[in-house]
Amino acid sequence: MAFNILLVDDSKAIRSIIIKTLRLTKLDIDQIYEAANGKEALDVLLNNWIDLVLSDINMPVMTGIELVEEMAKDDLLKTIPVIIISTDGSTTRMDQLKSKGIKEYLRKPFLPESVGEKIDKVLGVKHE
Amino acid sequence: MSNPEFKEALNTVTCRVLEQIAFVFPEPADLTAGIVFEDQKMLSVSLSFSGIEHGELSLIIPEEFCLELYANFLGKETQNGISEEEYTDAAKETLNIITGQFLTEIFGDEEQFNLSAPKAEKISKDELFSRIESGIYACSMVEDYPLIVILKLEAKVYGR
Repeated sequence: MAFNILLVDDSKAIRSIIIKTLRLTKLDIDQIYEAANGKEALDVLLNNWIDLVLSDINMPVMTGIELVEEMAKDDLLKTIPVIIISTDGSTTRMDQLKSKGIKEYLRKPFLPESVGEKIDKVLGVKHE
Repeated sequence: MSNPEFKEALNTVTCRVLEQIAFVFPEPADLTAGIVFEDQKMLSVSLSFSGIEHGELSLIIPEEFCLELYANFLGKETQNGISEEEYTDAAKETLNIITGQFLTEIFGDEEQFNLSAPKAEKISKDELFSRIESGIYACSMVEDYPLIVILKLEAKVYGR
């Protein structure tokens, strides 16, 4: 099964790095969608089939936390797993985010292999 | 925490982050030891943070080095065709990461902080020095490029 992934980060450079990293994983990827904030991400989510969201927290217009809260209000969107990729290292915030439905948390800067490991864990993918 | 301790943390975090994200190895430097700024066009990116403490962190970085930063970020072999928007984005994201790591280093990993979106502006040599004087700064060098991180902490207001 090929996955559709949505990347949400206001930094184009970070989105490019994550896309490069995703291409290096063994994950079978169909489409990678990009959004620069939570609002753009919601537009993508409402118009496309997305299997996984990778989102930053601090973004203009709509933050990653607000995005997760909006997704939680929708019966379909709340089933899509979200991995937060952020500079924020607060364990308190991580716990709060997990209580809102976040599946995993990755801190910037990240190692390429850790992105693949988190995604495999969240999507339940096992590589031969 | 004292100013020298803040300064040491700024230096440690800046060097570590640049090694991790851009594969460059800055060396802590003394700003008063004759670093030449004459020919360098400087970019200043700054953001504010709020939580147990409120303040601002700025990264002042030569524009020329921002090109190298962006190229290294993305593993590009050439700096040709990199736009101002792209290298400014790289500088902003670098500051974001430095700030996240610095706040954890100083205040521990249980404290929550909210960060503003980073803002960028070009500054003159005179502006550079007036900003340095207004906060706690750490300077490091990558090749001939000076990188300066400035911390400004807001004074705490206690109830009367």
